[in-house]
Amino acid sequence: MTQIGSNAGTVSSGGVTPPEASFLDLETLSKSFFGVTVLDRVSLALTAGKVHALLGENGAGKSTLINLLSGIHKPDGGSLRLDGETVELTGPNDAQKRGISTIHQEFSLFPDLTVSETIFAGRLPVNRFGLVDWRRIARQTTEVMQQLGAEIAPGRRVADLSIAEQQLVEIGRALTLKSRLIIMDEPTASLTPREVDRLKAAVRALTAEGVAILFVSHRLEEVKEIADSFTVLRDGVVVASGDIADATIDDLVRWMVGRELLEEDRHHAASKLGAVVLDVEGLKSRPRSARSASVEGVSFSVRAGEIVGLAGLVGAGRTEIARLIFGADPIGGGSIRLNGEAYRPKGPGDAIAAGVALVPEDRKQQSLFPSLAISENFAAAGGVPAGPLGILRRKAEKGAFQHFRDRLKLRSAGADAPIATLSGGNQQKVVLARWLELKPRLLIVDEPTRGVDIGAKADLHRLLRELAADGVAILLISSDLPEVLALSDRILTLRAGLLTGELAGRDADEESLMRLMTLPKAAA
Amino acid sequence: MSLVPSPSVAPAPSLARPRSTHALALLARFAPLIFLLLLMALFTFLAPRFLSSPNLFNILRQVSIFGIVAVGMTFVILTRGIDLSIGALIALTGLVAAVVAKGGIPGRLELTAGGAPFAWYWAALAAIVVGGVAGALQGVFVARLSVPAFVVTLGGMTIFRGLALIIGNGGPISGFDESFGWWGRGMVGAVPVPVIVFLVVVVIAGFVLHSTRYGRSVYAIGSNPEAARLCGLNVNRTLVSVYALTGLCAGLGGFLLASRLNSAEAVAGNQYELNVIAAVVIGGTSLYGGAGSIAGTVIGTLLIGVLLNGLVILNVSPYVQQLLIGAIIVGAVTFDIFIKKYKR
Amino acid sequence: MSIKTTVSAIALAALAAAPISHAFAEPKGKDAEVTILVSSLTYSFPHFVFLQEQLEDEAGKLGKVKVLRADGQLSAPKQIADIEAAIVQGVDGIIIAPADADALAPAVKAAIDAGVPVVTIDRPVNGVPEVLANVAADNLKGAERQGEAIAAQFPKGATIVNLQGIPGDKTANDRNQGVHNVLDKQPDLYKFVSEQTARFSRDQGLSVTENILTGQAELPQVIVAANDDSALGAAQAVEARKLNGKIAIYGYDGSTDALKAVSDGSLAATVDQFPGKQGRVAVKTLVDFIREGVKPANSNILVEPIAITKANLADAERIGTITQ
Repeated sequence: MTQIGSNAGTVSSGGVTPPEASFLDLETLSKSFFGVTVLDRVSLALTAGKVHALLGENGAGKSTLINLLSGIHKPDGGSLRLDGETVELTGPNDAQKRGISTIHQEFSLFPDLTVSETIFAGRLPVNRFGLVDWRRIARQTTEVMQQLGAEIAPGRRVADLSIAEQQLVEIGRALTLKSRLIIMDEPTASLTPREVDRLKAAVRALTAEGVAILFVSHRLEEVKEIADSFTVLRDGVVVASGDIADATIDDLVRWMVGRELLEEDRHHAASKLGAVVLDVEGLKSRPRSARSASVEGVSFSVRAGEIVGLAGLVGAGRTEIARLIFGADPIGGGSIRLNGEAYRPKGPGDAIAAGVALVPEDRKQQSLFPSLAISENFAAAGGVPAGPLGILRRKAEKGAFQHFRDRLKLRSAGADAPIATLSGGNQQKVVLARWLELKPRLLIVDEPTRGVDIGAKADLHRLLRELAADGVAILLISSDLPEVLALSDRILTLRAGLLTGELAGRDADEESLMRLMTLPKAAA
Repeated sequence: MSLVPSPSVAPAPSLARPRSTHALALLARFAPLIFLLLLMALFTFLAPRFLSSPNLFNILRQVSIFGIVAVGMTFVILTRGIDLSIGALIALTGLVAAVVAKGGIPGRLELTAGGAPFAWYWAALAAIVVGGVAGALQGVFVARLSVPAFVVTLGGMTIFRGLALIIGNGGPISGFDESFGWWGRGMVGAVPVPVIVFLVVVVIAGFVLHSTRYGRSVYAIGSNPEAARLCGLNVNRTLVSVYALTGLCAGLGGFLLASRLNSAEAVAGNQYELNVIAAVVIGGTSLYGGAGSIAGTVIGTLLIGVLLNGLVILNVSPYVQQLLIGAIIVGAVTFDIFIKKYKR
Repeated sequence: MSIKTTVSAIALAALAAAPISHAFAEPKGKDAEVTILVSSLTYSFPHFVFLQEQLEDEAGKLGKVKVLRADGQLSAPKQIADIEAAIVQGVDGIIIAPADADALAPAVKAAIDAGVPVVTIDRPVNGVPEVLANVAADNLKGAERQGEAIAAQFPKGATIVNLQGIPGDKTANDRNQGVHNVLDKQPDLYKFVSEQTARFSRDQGLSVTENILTGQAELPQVIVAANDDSALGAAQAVEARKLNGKIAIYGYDGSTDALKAVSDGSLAATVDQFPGKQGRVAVKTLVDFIREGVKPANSNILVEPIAITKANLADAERIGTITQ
């Protein structure tokens, strides 16, 4: 195994070769784009019935490796051996035919098809009249989903499913394709703890069938639990691999990041809380379509310098509360006071003017302007006021951005580069900077570290703490319970649009939160 | 609906990028210009007269009117919209200008006692205001009522054409005074007046788009409407404004066309929308919104003008011309997209 | 009105079921009220607008004739739909300027079978001999007059620029063909140095002429255009280059603007097809038949187009409109 640069010696190689013959061997695969080496002589082995974790920060080369395995790209060097035979994948279809299925971060599902149509898309079985055999399809779909421990009616529209359910449908499709290797790219990124448990069960069901799994995730606790072996990539090179049992989470983090992480000291002392900034009284959303969650009357407050965590399962109404406060959705009832004054925003513009900022949950859909430059994305909310006649002050914008670039440890080519050139973590830093430049009194962050690599996550956590220390009131929404626990002074739990409990940050643990989040009846 | 290229799929080595990609980036940026220069070189080679200065002014004068409208259209397309009504709106506003300049329609409408004519600036103002209001109305349907722009402006196209027919009673209104005609036919030195108007519009629009808060909100809304809303931008108002702006440009175009032809009629501006949309798209403005520039539109406009002019100078058969124009439009846009993709 | 409206769909169906060839109703009598449908090719062209106005004027003179307008919008399907609707409404007769000679034949036949007489105008429909009359000025013939006017003015030959109409359009083809029919007899004398489409539009007439003048090493002596609008556009290009009087421009249609231009010399000639006369003859022929059962002696009533130059300006049908 080739080693480059500083971190030599981190390879732990105890018991890498399992007794069974491997299903797929990657030997010294390399790939470069326009002269930039993205993967450099990467080797790893995947075994039937085992889960192999692929770890690395964004930009480490994981996506490229996945694309090589799923036939989207072709390697520049090295070889793939399938059951000991060297093969060359000619395209995604070829990969699928050879038993390699990939479940991408962005699902390839067709939202308007039903569950069974999706699972059998492109190969609907027909009966003896040459007509599609819907009964057989429904039966097989139910069987497959049961095998994965999920109960999803075959006739439901995919668009109506939760993300976790959609994922299970994709896995079900992979199963019916008789896949021997399933690549899962960040499968748990947007799942709630319970959904993660279901996924774990599905993975176990798959391995019991002898399927090999390549599991890509940032959540190391899950990796420890689910994987049998691992490979860590950094800058396109394998820096460590081995049995998961031989590595601690700290080891994994160190290999991925290449430096020690300072933070994660659990909880800062919420010493100097200021006046109440946000005071919500009986807040309700307007009744909308059945699919979106509703807010049924919640009351809470956030003080200056305080981080209040809002925990709940997906659909509990967390995001909806944030949107109501930010004026993104119409308020159905109740009242909000901001800095002691009545506040009822007609739109996000009002909220921004009142000193409220929202970092929305879905970065790509709700935050980023993909065709604009980094500095333009930064300035999109008008953090740097324009001059007379609405003439932009681009120099001032760049200056302000420069300031954040240092503060947020943002790694980017230049402020004029397209936002798409940044990794997810750096994009999120730009989004956060956009709102911080407005100097908000109340900052709402919804899933601030989703799909963000571990180094950037630590940077973002540090920044949120600094902001609180500076007297900003922060409302934190996250599915990542360790994150909620690590940051919050107080944690509110939410279920079905109602608050179910309130815990002091230092008293809370995952178990108590989960209990409140899944409480059958509101007891706020 | 999400047509936005996904950033995570690209291999995007984020930090250093070697020289060769800079060259490609440069090529991508100037692809439409390169294409234009190649085409001009080809025409010059086949017909040396093509490059004479009177002919170049010919081209400029011929493109100036639909170029003005293309500038407006750039705003609309940047917001992921489209405006198919501009050809009809040019006809309608041209007739409005003509009626005002004539002081009424003989026997049917008297704007002044005895149909005394109004000065050119009233005529121009009337055309521009009517264009702006018509555009804004369409914008309201698109923004507030969420009717697809394609449908709204397709309807607008027939409505405006119908109004034009009613005003002109199917025929032309022609013969205006000198000061009216100067705007379409006059010269300042060697430069035709419409070309100067076009340049002024280009400079103003370019500045607004690149250097003002308004311009940035146009890009932002086209790039990601939801994110724009959550950044506190007034999406609806901006959408209405871009259609109004295109209407204003069509009004100005209608006035200039009436002045240039010394006549306005309901069939004027027929199929302008096709040339205008082609010019904008050739200039690199994305139909998916959020990316493009006025400079690109100017190049696209010139490309169309050069094409129409060059093929006539070469006396290419009209049948073959249609084929070539279509092929070259598709070729130019494909070249642009291909280069941009390859860069990534 | 009363009688017509009682012609019900059932009666129509009966007629259709028993295809008796053109079972025209009995003559309605001398002063009977008559309703006719006029399906114009389009009301976007002044030619047809004028035709319609004259037709309605004549109808007014005849008395008790109600004219229903239908805009064909240059579309055969639109005209078919209009005719079908008119049959159901129970009109007494139809005048149509067909967009397509073949496509409209079945609809015209259906109308006649339903007992509604039809007069075609401007051009005939093919294969329906039962049509009461076709009142038309042949575009081919008119263009031959245009060509002859050129030959008369330039007996020793000329270099010619040809501004054609919309490619593929029948009128455009006929007018192009007519000019060639005359001038191609003497290919040594008359040379077409450039043939381009100006799409019947003033705008295109102007810019295409500009481009052609730039491209030609020597000035052409003649510009012949497929209609007045494109000819007037060409005249403007010529005027802008201060070439007034050096190039003779020939239009087609005898429109008001063109007649003015002929009188002030910026056009050499235009061709008058007498649309007003066509309209008047058509409506008179139709109404006479409906009221009194009189058929025209010859079902093909041709209106001779003539070239209008400064010398015979007074013969133009719309000469009255140029002095405001």
